[in-house]
Parts: sequence; structure tokens; C-alpha cells
Amino acid sequence: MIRISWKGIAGALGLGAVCAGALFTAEPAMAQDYPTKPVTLVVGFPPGGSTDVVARILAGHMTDTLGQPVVVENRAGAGGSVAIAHVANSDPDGYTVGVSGVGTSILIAALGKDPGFSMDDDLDVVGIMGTLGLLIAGRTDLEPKTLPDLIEYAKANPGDIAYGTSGVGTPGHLAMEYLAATAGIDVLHIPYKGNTPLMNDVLGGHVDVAMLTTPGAAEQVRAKGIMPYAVSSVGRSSLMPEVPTVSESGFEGYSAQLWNLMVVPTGTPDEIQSSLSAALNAAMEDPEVLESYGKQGLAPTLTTPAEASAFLAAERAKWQGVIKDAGIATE
Amino acid sequence: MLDNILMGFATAATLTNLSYCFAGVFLGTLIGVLPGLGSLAAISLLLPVTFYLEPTTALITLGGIYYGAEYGGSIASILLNLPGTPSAAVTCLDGNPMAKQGRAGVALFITAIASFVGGSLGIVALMAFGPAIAKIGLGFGPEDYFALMLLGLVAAVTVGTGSVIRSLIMVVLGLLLGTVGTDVTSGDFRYTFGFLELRDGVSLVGLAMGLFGIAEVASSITGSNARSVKHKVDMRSMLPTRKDMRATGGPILRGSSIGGFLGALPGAGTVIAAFLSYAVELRVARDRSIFGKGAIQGIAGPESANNAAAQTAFIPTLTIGIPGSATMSIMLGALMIHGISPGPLLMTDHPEVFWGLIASFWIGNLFLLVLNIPLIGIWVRVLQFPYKFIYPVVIALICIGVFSMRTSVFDVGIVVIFGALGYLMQRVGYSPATLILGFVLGPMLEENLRRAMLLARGDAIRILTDPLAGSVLALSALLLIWAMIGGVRNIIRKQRNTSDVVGEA
Repeated sequence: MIRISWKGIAGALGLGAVCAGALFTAEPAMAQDYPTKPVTLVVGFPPGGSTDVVARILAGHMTDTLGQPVVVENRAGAGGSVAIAHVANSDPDGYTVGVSGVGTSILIAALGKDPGFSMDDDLDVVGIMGTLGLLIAGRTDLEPKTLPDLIEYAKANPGDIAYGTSGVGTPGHLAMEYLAATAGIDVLHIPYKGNTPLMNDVLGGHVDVAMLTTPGAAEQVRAKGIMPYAVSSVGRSSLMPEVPTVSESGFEGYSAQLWNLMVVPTGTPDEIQSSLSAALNAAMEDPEVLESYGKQGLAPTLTTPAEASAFLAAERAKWQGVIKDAGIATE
Repeated sequence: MLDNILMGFATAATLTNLSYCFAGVFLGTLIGVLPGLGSLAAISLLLPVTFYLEPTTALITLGGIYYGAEYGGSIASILLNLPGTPSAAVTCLDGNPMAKQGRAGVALFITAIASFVGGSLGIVALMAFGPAIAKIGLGFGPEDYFALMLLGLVAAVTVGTGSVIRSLIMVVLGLLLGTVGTDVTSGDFRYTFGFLELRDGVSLVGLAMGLFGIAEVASSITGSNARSVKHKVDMRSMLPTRKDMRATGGPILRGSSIGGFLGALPGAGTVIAAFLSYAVELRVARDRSIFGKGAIQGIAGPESANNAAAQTAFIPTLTIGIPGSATMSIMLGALMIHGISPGPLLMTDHPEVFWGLIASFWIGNLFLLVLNIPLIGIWVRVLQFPYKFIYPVVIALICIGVFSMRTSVFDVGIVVIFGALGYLMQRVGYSPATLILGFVLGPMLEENLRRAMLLARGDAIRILTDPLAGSVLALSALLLIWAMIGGVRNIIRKQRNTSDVVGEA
């Protein structure tokens, strides 16, 4: 018969803690020395995608600042959730850093689905990795030629306009539902599996309107394959300065942006978070990075961890409002 | 046009680009041969390396890896019944029986020729009609894709050389497995059992490597599939007979056309091209009983099809900026990192990238031919290796390959589960090839049908009366009737010569 002694267990645990503490102090890897080994930047999408490109541009520069390689690791799956859940479960030592977009940071949870982690409890936000607008574009033979015309047409012909997005619950879907709710129009949502088939169908004229990401969309506009209506960002896109924003087109104050946050597991020492934040901001001021950002249509951002957290809270409040106002079903 | 082609060759024929092209196809072949490591995994891993190269050189290297792997995938299919890539699964059906008959050299030789011809015809199509084909591709709406996928499924049922009932069971199992994941139309999760990793569905590579790779290794170890192929390989035993050559001309041309066309449609890809080509060869063959037992037509057609498709997949990618497959989107990502935005203006803005790359394809295909004909003798010697040394390496490679796709241990678990299922299937004589096709086509079929129905506002007549979709649907119906008539005829023939009842596979 084995008698379990709680005292014994507590003692063992205590001894373990002391040993762990001793190991910890013995290790040279203290927060002020950070980093002493390569830092992994976890991306929730496959290589070559827009999130991956952002991560790789920044990783290159952060490697120079931190003096240790910043390695991009792709853990694609579940709209980015697999990667961010992995970061949330990693040691809070600053060597596993995540790139979390609008979906994983806000939308998946706001739509009542389980992302596999809690943005508030499991993760700290280090900074914003730039913002990007969406292009609202139509097939070239669509009758209305401007956004106000399109809205008027949709009002006169409820349910007639079919708009495509890269999926249910993606920023593009919510951005159009937000616009539809604001303008009081009825449009039909056609979800696609990512940007590729969506682009194919709007170029081929199979779907009327599409919510597209730059810079791919900007190239199609330049080749006159699609008709641009407006960009959803706060300011105009550096890639298509001639295209007005939605806000300029009669919906003042409207904005729907894509962004990525740099996140670390909760409990990561403040010194480490500051080092990462400083390296991220240094990259955002580097001329080469700025040039790459310009080519991708990305707007650079300079933020402290506190500012980035406030940004997240404001964005969350906004999207939760949109989901409620537009009456998008949550589970 | 001629100027452009010349400029392309001038770009591709610099010493740097030639060496990178050679390195690309060589590496690609190796990666293709290794089961589990496909071009997608290889290109993802090597993408960062290409950041330090000129954009054209970077693309030439990645492109070489891509079609090199497509070629190499068939080598392991023939020798060890282990498809290096999912599209090489078809090549197992007849390639491995040929190897067991001691004709591995011939099979590899025909594969090299078929791949070269298919690849070259694909490149000609890309050069001559690229933009025009891309326009036709854009004209394909959801209803047309649906009809095409249905045609593929009908063809799949007739692919199995055994009983139609068994193929049907496998296709349906594939369709069911294909429903796992996030439903595109509603955004709901289906059969994910709370696993984040299943929200994107079961991993295709994991499934294919389990069903084919692990299952094959398992049944070989247990000795049910004894390997004692030991024979000397000289140049003569490698060369196909005149009869072989005559039998392959038609399949290669048909395969190249099928592959060339399907490759140009974004999303259709090399897997479907290979299967459809096999189905067509099975239909047009005078003697269908040789299929599955080492019919040379059964490797010539699919091999030329998947290599033609590998080349024409660059049509939508390069001429309109729509990646034809997951591998293609990584290549576009490589361009984006170099500050070149892929789109319809790539051809005019960066002609050296476009034409240089296309010229390198042809050089690369030539390299593949020159590289592989002498290597056949070496490859065949793999068969003389004791199997106990081969299988641990195979299992390790499969695990590494599948893990590296998404840095996912979960997917390695998928391999183990489907390895067990595949072993059981092999013991009771069910072919995993049709399961894979059902798995690939099912989700695309459903997604496109539901999208077409949404766009038609629920009016199915609009899909049936669409000229293109309607014709393809009619073609599927015809194929089904043809298969049924053939089946009835077989039964009648069987009853006539009762002595031959057991012989029917």
C-alpha cells in the first residue's frame, strides 16, 4: 500500500522549484542578455502568402538589430489559429514570437468560435507590424462605375449584387457587411477558399464585386482587369493613389483595415518585450523596409506595447459592434 | 515573339542561370524520388535561400525543383510502389508491376521520354498560347469547375482495374474524408473533433503517404509482398522494344493534351491530370485486361499528363498572376519578396523574368532527360538492396517530409492512422488510388456546386443550360453509359466462355 504524503509532494515540489531556480540563475540567458539564441517568428499561413512576406521582411531587419537570427516558421492551419495557439503554449522566454492578424486576434473569437487560446489571458502584444487596406473592386462590365453609384444600384436592386470574399468571417466579409449595414443595402455574400479563386472569378466576370488584398489587386487594376471602387483603409493606398477611400466616397469615418500584431506568451519579462518592441520599431524606420512596405501597399506603424494593446482593444470593440449591427450569426 | 524567345534563352543560358537550373532539377529529382518530400515541402524550405538570388535566377531554381520533383516522383512509384508525390500515385498502378516483371529499366526509360515530351509540349503551349489559354481559363466559372470535377469522379470510378463496386466504395470513402474541415460556404467546422489542425481538412500528403507509403512498407515487411527482384541490368534490358515504343506514342500525345489543358486551370492540377489520362487510356485500350499488370500505356499517358500539367500550371501563374497550385503561390511569393508584383503585366514589365523562366523550363527538361537516362541503371540497382535497409529510411523520410509541410506533429499522426488503414485495404484488395482522387475532387466539387447554386440564386436549370458546364455534364453521362455498356458486354462475354471466369480481374 502506497501512502501519499501531501507534505512529501509539497517538499518535492519545493525542492524542484529550488532546483529550477538554481538552474535558471545558473543559465546565462537572463532577460538583459536577450537574445542569446535564434528567435522563432511563427506565422500561421503558408510561405509566400502576404503574412509570410511581412514577417520575412521584418525578420531580416530584426536579425541585424537583435544580433541573433530571427527565423520565420510557418505553421499554417485553421486561419492562423494553429500558429498562435502554439505561441500561447510556448515558454514565455521571448524565443517564440507570433504574428497574429485580425482573424486570430479578434474575429474568430468574436464570431463565437474557439481559436484554441485566449488573446487576453495567454498573449501579450508587443507591437503592430503595419496595416493594409482592402480594395473593393468590381468586374469591368458592371454598370455602376463609382462606389456611390454601386450603393445606389444595390438599393434599387436588392440582392442583385453578389460579392466575393476570401471566406466566411474574414475581414473582407465583415468589411462589406459593415458597409452594407451602414448604407442600408442588401448584397449576396459568396465565400471563396482564399484570394486565388476569388480573383479568378472576378476577373472572369463570374462574381460582381470582390474584396481584394493589395498588391495583387493593384496589378489587376493597372491591367484594367477589374474596376476599383474604393479602398477600405483610413488613407489611400500607396499602390493606387488614384482610388478614393470609402470614407471619401460618402461614408465618413468608415475604415476596415488588415493588420498583424507581434505577440508573445503572457509572462514574457518586460525587458524582453521592450527589446522586441525596439527591434520592431527600428525595422519600421529602416529605409529598405519602408521601400518593401511601399511595394506591398503596407502602411508602417510605430507603437509601444501599451499603444498596440490599446489599438487591439479599440479594433475589437469596433468589430464586435459590426458583427452585432450587421446581424452576422455567431455560434 | 521570336525576339522574346531569343531574349529568354539569352537570359536562361548565362552560366549562373544554367547552374542554378541544373541544381534545381537535380535537387527536385532527388526530392521527388524520396517518398514524402514533395515539391511543396522542398520549395517552402528553400524559399529563404532564393532571397539572395536575382529574381529570375530564384524562379529558375524554384521552377526546376518543382518540375524536377514531378518527374522524380515516378521513380519511387515504379521501383518500390511508393509514390514520391501524390500525382505519381497513378504510376504505381502499372509501373510497379513492370518492375516486378524485371522491366523496371524500360518503365523508367518510358517515364523519362513521356515526361520530356509532355513537358516540352506543355512549354510550347505556354509560349505560343499562354495568354489566350489564360483567358479561356478565366472563362471557367464555378458551374464549369463543378462539371469538370464530376467528369473526373466518373473517370475515377472507371480507373480501378478491379471491380466497379470496389472503386465506388473507395471513391465514396475519399469523398467522406474530403468533408472534414471548414465548410467554405458556411464557415462551419465539420468532423474536426475539436482539433485545430483538422479545420483545414486532412492533410493530402499525410493521407497519400500513409495509404501508399506506410501501407506498402508494412505489407512488404510482413512478407506478403516478397521482394526478390534481382537481375542484371544492362543497357539492352533498359531499352524499350519496338512494340513498347509503338504502344506509347498515342498515350503520350493524349496525356500531354489532357495534362496541358488541366494544368492551365487554376486548382485542377497534376493529380487530376494523371488520373484522367489513365482513365482515358483504359477506355481507349483494345485489351483492357493488361492494365494494372504492367501496361506500358498506363505509365506513358499519366506521366506525360502530369509533366505537361506541371508546365502549363505556369500559364495562369505568370500571365494573370493567379497561382495554379499551392507550390505556384510560393513562387509568386518569391517574386513579391523581390519587389515584383505578379500580375497580368508581368510579361510586359519584366519580359526577362517571364521569357527567361520559360526558356529555362525547356533547358531544365533537357537536363532531366540527360541526367536521368544514365541514372536508370543506378536507380534499378536500388531493387537489389536488401529491403531491411530500405524501409527504415523510407519511414523516416515520410515522417520528416510530412512534418516539414506545416511543422506539424499532428500530420505525422495522420500518416500513422492512414498507414494502418492502407495496410488493411491492401490486404483485402482495395486500391487507394481512387480514394485519393475522391478526396482531392470531392471538396472542390462541393464548393463549386454550392457557389454556382448561390450565384444562380438556387436555380439548377441555369447550371444545366450553361453551354460549357452542360456539355461537360453530358460528357460525364456518356462516359458512364459507355462504362455500363462495357460492363454488360463483359458479363455476356464471360457467360460465353465459362472457362475464363476466374481470369477476369
